[in-house]
This record gives sequence, structure tokens and C-alpha cells, in this order.
Amino acid sequence: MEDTQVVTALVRRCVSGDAAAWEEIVQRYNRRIYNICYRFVGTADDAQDLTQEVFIKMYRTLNTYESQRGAFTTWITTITRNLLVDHFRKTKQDRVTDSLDVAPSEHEDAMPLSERIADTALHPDARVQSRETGETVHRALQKLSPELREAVILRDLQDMDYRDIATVLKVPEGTVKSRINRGRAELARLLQRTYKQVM
Amino acid sequence: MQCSEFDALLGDAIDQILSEQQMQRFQAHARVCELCGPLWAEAEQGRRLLKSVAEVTPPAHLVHNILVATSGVQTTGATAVQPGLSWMDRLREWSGGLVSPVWGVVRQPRFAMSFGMAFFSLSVALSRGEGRRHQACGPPAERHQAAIL
Repeated sequence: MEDTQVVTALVRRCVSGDAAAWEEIVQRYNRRIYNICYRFVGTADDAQDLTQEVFIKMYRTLNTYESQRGAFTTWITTITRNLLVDHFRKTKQDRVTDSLDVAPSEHEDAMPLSERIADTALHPDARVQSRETGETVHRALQKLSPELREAVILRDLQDMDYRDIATVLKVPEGTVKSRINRGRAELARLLQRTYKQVM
Repeated sequence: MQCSEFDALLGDAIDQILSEQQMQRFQAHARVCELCGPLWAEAEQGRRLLKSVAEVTPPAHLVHNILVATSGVQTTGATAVQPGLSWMDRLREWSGGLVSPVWGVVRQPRFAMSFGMAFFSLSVALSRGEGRRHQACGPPAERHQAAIL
């Protein structure tokens, strides 16, 4: 939970031209923005480029932020989400044809899914709990539609509440909850189907 | 309970914030509905899987790159130079920190024209200056003759 007064003061200093204040904002929020981008677009390179774009946009429009309208975190998440949507429309990712065995991510020590599942020495529950689960889930996330993906990322990975997610996505809270339910369920079905195919 | 109400309460049920009465009605519907029952199990499993995903660490130079791209100022903290770079790359990186803020301004369209005109004016002034020097620097005999005349 951000300290509203601290962030508001930082923003004010930044708008006045304080470079150190801007650096502090970047240090505070780069990890969060990067994680949202990475989980949405799937690759570290794209996530890095998009994170930079988010901060450039933020830098140019910082004087438009008003604390009485909402939390700073919600504001920057909205900027992030809008840029991710623009990116998705430009690139028109084809998630249907991607295999879950494509090149592993740069962030985790990943093996192709089939190799991980072939380790029959482990109980299925232990396999799910293994450190490669994160990589598996990350790739399955890319198979979700953008609407479901962004909803589960903001709720289950970023711990945002329904009201703030509704603000970011510009949809009613009921729609947010429905998308989260469907996103979670589809993710589970995707991973169950993949495990069954290999076995 | 209808499926629409079940769907609306599903998130709260997973978060375990439903009242006892709501939870009883919720579970009763899940027991009899062949769509909602499996949906509940899958949604819970999906949430567990997502919660198992760890946060990733951004690349080491992300903050530095953001600062250079925005305020043009390098980080005041740890060095932004990658280990293992040659002295030429380090020199390039160091001089980039000096040049890039200026270059960032020059590249803006509103300033590019001004800088272009300034450069052109300076070039003309220097070339005129060169011309006069050449006249004065002509062969000594010609200068003497020019002075007499």
C-alpha cells in the first residue's frame, strides 16, 4: 500500500523539475510496471521496451495526475494497461498456435513442459509445486485472451482490489469479477489439458 | 441461487469473505449445478497456480535506461556500466551521458531548426573571415602595391 502523502509530495517535486524525485519514482515503481508488462507480453525484451514507454508517458503526463481522483498506483497501472493494449493490437499476438514448449523465458531456469512432466519420480502435486510451475503458468497465461489475462494479472499477481481494477480497465466491478473467474478457470483447464496430453 | 448470482459471488467465496448463510447457499448450488460446481474448483485451482508465480526481477539497467530516456540524467546510485566492457565502450557510455541531454534537446523539432540556422550562420561568418584573411595573406608584393594604391 503506497504512502499517499509521500507519493503526492514526490509527484509535486517532480513536476517542479526535481530530477532526484523522478529517479525515486522510477526506483519505486519500475519493478511493478515491469512485472505487469512481462506477465502480459510474455518476453523480457518486450517487457523492458514497454516499461520504458510507460515511464516516458508517465514523465510527460505527470502534471495531469490528481491525487483526489485516485491512488498513484492505479494511475500508473492505467497507463501501463493502455500501452499494453496498444501493443497487443499492433502485434496481434497469435496465442492459439503457440506451443507451451517454445523457447523458455529469460528469467527462470526453464525446461520444456514435456520434459518437466516426464519426471515421473515426482508426485503430480509435487510437480505442480516445483519451481518450474511459475514458468508453466507464465506460458499458459499467454494463451488467455487479453481481457482475461489482464484481469488475473492485476488481481492475483498485483493484488489490486476489484474497484481499482474496474477503474483501470474501465468496466464495471461485476465484469471484473466475471473475467477473473473465467481467467482462473481457463488457466486451470489449459494446464490440466496439457498434463493429460503428455501422460 | 441462480448461476448469475453464483458467478458474482465466486470471487468472494474463493477469498473466503462470504457470510455463513451466503456460503451455505453457494455450496448448495455448486452441488447441484454441473456448470458452477466444476467452475468453482477450476477457479480455485487457477488462483492457486497464479499465486505460486513469483515476481521477476527487472534487468539491471532498466532504471538507468528509463532515466536516460526521460530526464536524460543517469542514476545517482550504482554504476550503470556493464561489467566486462572495453575501455572504448566505457568512454562511449561516459560521453553519452554528457552528450545525450544536449542531443535530446537538439533533436526536438522546435530546436532543430534554430540549431541548424545557427550552424549555417556560423559557417558563413567563418568562411567570410577566411576570405578576408586570404586577401590579407596574399604575396607580400601584392599587399604592398595594394597599400600604396
